Amino acid sequence: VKASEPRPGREADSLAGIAPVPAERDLPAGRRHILKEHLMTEFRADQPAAQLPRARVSRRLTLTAAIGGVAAAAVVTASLTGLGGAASPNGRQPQGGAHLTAAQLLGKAADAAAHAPAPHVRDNQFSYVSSEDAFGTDDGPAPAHPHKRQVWLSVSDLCVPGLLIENGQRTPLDDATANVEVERHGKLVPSHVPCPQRGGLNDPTYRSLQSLPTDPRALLHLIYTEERGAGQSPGQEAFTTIGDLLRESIPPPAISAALYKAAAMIPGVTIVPDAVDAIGRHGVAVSFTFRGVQEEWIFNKNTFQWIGERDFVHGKLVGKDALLQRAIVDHAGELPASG
Amino acid sequence: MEHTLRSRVRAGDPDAFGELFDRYARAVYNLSFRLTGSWPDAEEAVSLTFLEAWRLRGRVEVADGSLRPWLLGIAVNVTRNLNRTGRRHQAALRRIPPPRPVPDFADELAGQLDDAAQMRRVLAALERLRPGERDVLALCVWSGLDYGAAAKALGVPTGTVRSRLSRARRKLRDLIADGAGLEREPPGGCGQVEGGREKAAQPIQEEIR
Repeated sequence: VKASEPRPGREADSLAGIAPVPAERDLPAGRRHILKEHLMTEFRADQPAAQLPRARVSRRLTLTAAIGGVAAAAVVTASLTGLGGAASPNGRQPQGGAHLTAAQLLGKAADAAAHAPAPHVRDNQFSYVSSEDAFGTDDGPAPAHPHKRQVWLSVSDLCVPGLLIENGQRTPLDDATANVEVERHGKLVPSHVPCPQRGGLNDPTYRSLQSLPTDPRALLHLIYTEERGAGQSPGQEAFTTIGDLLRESIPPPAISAALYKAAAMIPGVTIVPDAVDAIGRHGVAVSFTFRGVQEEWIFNKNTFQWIGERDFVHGKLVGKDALLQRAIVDHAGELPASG
Repeated sequence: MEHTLRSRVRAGDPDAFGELFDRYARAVYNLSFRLTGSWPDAEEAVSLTFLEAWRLRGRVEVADGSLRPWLLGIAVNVTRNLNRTGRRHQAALRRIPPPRPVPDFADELAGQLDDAAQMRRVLAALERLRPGERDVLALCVWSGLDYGAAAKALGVPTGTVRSRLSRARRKLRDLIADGAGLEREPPGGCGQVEGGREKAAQPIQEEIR
């Protein structure tokens, strides 16, 4: 097939000739209607007057059949050596945290996080997080028994696939462009091009978290600014965004601390004196509720490290998890040397 | 009236989003396919794009003009980030029945597979471009946005769109000059062109060094 000459001054046309794409198609017969009806149901349910509103739901690594990709329930935080009883930073044994205000609890969580060891991280490494979690489907009640999840994600913006192991099933976590392979020396190899879409507030990496301000006010201002107009209310969006930043990544200690302090400045965050994570550990929690959807972050009552989460919809428990371990490792699928 | 639609979208009127879907779902579907080479991913991206549009409706400016660039900009981000965005909307996605594994008709299936194979070859050739350049290529060339609309959609200055396109063109020309380019059909796949699907079934030879 002979290529035609690019028309001068018509960049678009010349590029169309260089990279010819298949003609447009309609959505498959029937799917268009199904998708529209379901989307309309979502939109109607999310209106202020609706009886069962749908708040923006935190990102969770949960395998969804529709995606064939991933999703995620893992939790992240705490120390790099697991969650076993680290001493409180100043050596005092706190008295269970039940008497604290939400702001005081988050302050203590910030202190604990700030004193965690800072990992030395290389761009080609992965964050590893294991958890037990139990989330209902379709806002149904949380299953009684959690299952184990293990997640590996690149610490940087390199387009390298992560990995999810859940219920014994291994799922590569490819970003859209991570599927691209290039031929080198006669073999197809994954490309290691940067993924510039990685690393935002809604897709944090260790590297992107490192670049956030450590001043809590500046950080909260940044979150309010970047998320302006999103979600259902500025406070709800900010709380959910901070939860996302804490949950699915391993923030540097100073950033963890700043995130907790920033959360303390969101109006409407309240204390829950006793909360139980997915494996039965009792802790003290902070909570944010908007239109009946309640998110809780649970902390160890003595160390003030993050141990898990619970989600409620109109008082019904719809999900819970428990953080087991997190670490920086060299390869997706590699377990940390020791707990 | 597009400006009326805009204000209804801003106000969170579900019917306005239904209109948006009727007008632009096909454009989103094809843009996402051209970024991924996968029809199932493209279908997923349609759902996620409209869920994201709903979430981000407060950011729609009170102004005149089509909402198509805004939606396509969301589609680019969603497609680049399918798995992550999927997590945010996981509850909503669970409520949507998964796509059937095969289309109803054998020829539709064959056509889809041909398209996907062709698109993967194009994407492999475009591997030399930076993702930002590929996004501009997709919006300006395949979806037919002008520089200004693409700039708004991607949240970058117009000059950046211009220079990315120009770099993309230079790189692809070099690729061809190297003898490593695509053997290709005549121009015409500008995203606005309907029909011509038979051509898509022809194999494209390509080799990247």
